[in-house]
Amino acid sequence: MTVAFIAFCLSFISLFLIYVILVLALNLQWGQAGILNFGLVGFVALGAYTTAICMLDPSTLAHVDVGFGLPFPVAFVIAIIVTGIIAWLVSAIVRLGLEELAIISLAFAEFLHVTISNEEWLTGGTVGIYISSLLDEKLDLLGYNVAFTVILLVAALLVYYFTTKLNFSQFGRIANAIRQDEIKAKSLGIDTVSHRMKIFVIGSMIMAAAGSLYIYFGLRAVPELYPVGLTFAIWIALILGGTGNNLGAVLGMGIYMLLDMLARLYLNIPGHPEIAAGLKFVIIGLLLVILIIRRPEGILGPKRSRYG
Amino acid sequence: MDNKARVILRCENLEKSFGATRAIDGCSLEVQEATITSIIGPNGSGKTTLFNLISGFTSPDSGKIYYKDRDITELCKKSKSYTLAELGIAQSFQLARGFGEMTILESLMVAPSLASDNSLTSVFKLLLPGTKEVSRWEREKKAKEMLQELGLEKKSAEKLQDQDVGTQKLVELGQIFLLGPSIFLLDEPLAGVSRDKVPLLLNYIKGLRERGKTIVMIEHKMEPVLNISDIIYVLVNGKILVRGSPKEIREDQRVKEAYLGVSGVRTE
Amino acid sequence: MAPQVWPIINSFLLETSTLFLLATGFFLIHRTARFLNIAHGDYATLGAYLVWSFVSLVGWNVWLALVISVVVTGLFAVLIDQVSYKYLRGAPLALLLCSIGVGLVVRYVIFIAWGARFKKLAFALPNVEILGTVISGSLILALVFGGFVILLAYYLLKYTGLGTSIRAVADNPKLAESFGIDTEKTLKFAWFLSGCSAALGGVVLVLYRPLTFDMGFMWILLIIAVSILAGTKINFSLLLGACSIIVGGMELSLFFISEAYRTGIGFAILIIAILVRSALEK
Repeated sequence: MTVAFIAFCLSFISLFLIYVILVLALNLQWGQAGILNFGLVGFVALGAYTTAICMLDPSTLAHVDVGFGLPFPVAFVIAIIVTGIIAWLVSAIVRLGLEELAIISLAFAEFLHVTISNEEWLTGGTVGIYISSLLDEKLDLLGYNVAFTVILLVAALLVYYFTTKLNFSQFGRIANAIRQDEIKAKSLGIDTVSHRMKIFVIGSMIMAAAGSLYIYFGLRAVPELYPVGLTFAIWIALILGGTGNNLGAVLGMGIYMLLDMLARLYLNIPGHPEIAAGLKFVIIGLLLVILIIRRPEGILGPKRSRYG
Repeated sequence: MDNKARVILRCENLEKSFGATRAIDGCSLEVQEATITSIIGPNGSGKTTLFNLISGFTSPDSGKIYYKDRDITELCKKSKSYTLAELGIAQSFQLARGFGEMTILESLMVAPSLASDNSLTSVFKLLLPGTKEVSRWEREKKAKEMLQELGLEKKSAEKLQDQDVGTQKLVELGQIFLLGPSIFLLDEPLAGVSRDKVPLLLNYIKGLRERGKTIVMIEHKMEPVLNISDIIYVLVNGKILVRGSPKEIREDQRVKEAYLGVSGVRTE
Repeated sequence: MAPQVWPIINSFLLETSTLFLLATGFFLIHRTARFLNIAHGDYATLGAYLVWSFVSLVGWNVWLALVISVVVTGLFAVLIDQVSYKYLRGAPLALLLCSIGVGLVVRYVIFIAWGARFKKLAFALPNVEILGTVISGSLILALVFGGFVILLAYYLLKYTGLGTSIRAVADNPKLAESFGIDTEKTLKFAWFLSGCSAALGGVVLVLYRPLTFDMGFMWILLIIAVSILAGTKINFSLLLGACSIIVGGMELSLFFISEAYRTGIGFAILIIAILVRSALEK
């Protein structure tokens, strides 16, 4: 058991924890409130890049003009707030319908991706932004990974605690009611549009937090780290494990990452690297179709409130 | 008819057309507080449209609606139907609507939802460990009391969607009551309800009147309507044909003719 | 006509026809089956790859390959519906998610089968010269196909029994059923037509763009945009109009913004389209 191997395992766990935070956020939006958000990766990227830009000392990178050299905690808070504001604007479309929001959120993520890849002065374009952190300077490889696994574990537990409490509260009950019957909810005096917007914003802010932590960990923001595929991977994990069930969401994420790892290790046909990558997506697609048709509630089934 | 009772809901010359069809052709009606007012009429007479105009689901082409002497015509627009509930006008639906996946107990905990439950600050308060939702016990208590009132304590943990229509409609009335409205708009409350459950619903509705609530309902089943209503409006072809007490309606020739010349009253 | 204007017009006409062909099938399904088939772009890609295979690997004549591929893609669309979408009738959000899965499968099976590298369709079309300007064969073919589809759509919807069924189902499926219309059969036909037109769109696309596995998928957001902009009824002229507006907007924007944001403009128009449509509905 070499140090490098342990460090590798820990970084894998850290990545898993980030994905867990994302799937919990998505569960809040989709599992609880029934809001389709296909722009997940966009909000993650927004959190990540805002953090990077805030933390960057512009003199260290030639191709980027903007940076504020702020410490991570400040950058983290700014990233979450900025994402919240933008999520608020995007979510306004929900007034017109859930399908519209689904498409607009997808378009938003695509648009963000294009912007990030092109506006070199701000985001470093395809080269990206590299930041430095105190933790990186002070700790060795093992220490660094241990620190982050702990940080992310705490963060994931906090998010789990928070979203569960939210789901079981009256706020969550209202969201659940709106999901089941919007017209009925309105007739009981609930402002359904405003409530849905709030849930969308809260979920997106959590996604941004995950992105922010991710970049603090990886110290590198590049567009290719935020592909559209990430959105759908989280979706599948949620549907697999149990829509509307936080524990199921975590379970689903675990199974998904396991499958991903197995695919990487065993689906390799020598000489044809693209087959492994392609096959992985084919299996993901098939899983999604089969789950939606046969068991849309996932492995664990919904647990949206304390009353069953 | 008690002339001193306050008129709580008043519609003046409502008109509504869908394309070339005149669905409502100049309807005016008055509803007195703490009464049961029913709107009946043959199929296609426009009952549902009139109902939707009052409940805010559709907006009238012309005419006015007054609630407690306040002009609410502007508020009766589709997207703002939740404000009507806040004002005190609540409705039930012909096809029992509700939160099927929830247990009966929980579905009674949805309303009333105060603005404070909805706000972002309440969300952030949840982040603090140990904060229990103060109002949850209150809410659960009220829901349990309602369950008892409806006679459904044994079913509290059952899902709403597993119940028969009669029970669902009963729960719906309970939900609305917890909202605390002054007016209950009931759209065919007895539709789809099995015979044995009809008296339960009717008793509950009568009980609402005793508590000072105002009921406005559309209904097809004539006998129950004649039995419990204080005032009946007969709607034919988008116009009010006649208004009167059950006795007057029962004896009115025009009403009998309107129902396609069926002699005597159609019982269901 | 000044020589500098022609390339812009050429590009505009070509893009509009392509978008129209790609969007027609999607639009049809959106109106009749009531959901957004995210996999539609991938059907188009499939059609194009089939043509390429028949021509380059089997050696068929291009036109024969075209006809066969169009039919095969149409049947394929019906097949997909029967094994998946059929079970989700009436649940638009579930269908949307399902179509994402279907799209992934189709796209990456293509990726595995045909590889990641670009391919070129060896399809030489004669250019035509009118009044001193050279009109490319590609443009002519695109316009011919586009014209064919819209005329076919018009004729179909107005004069055939199938067209009436489609219109009825699009308007109100339950009502159509009560009139004795077999909605399942109508939907099958709609899917067949959807797949066929997707293949046509894919072929036209490949005339001026490289053939890659995600070629069609890249267009899906634009396809959704025009479908939404085109209103609520089955009206293919409105669809064509929507295509022109969006393509026109994108071409105009090139004067101000860099190439990369072109699709971004498309999305901006999508948002405006949605807002305008909802304002008009009030």
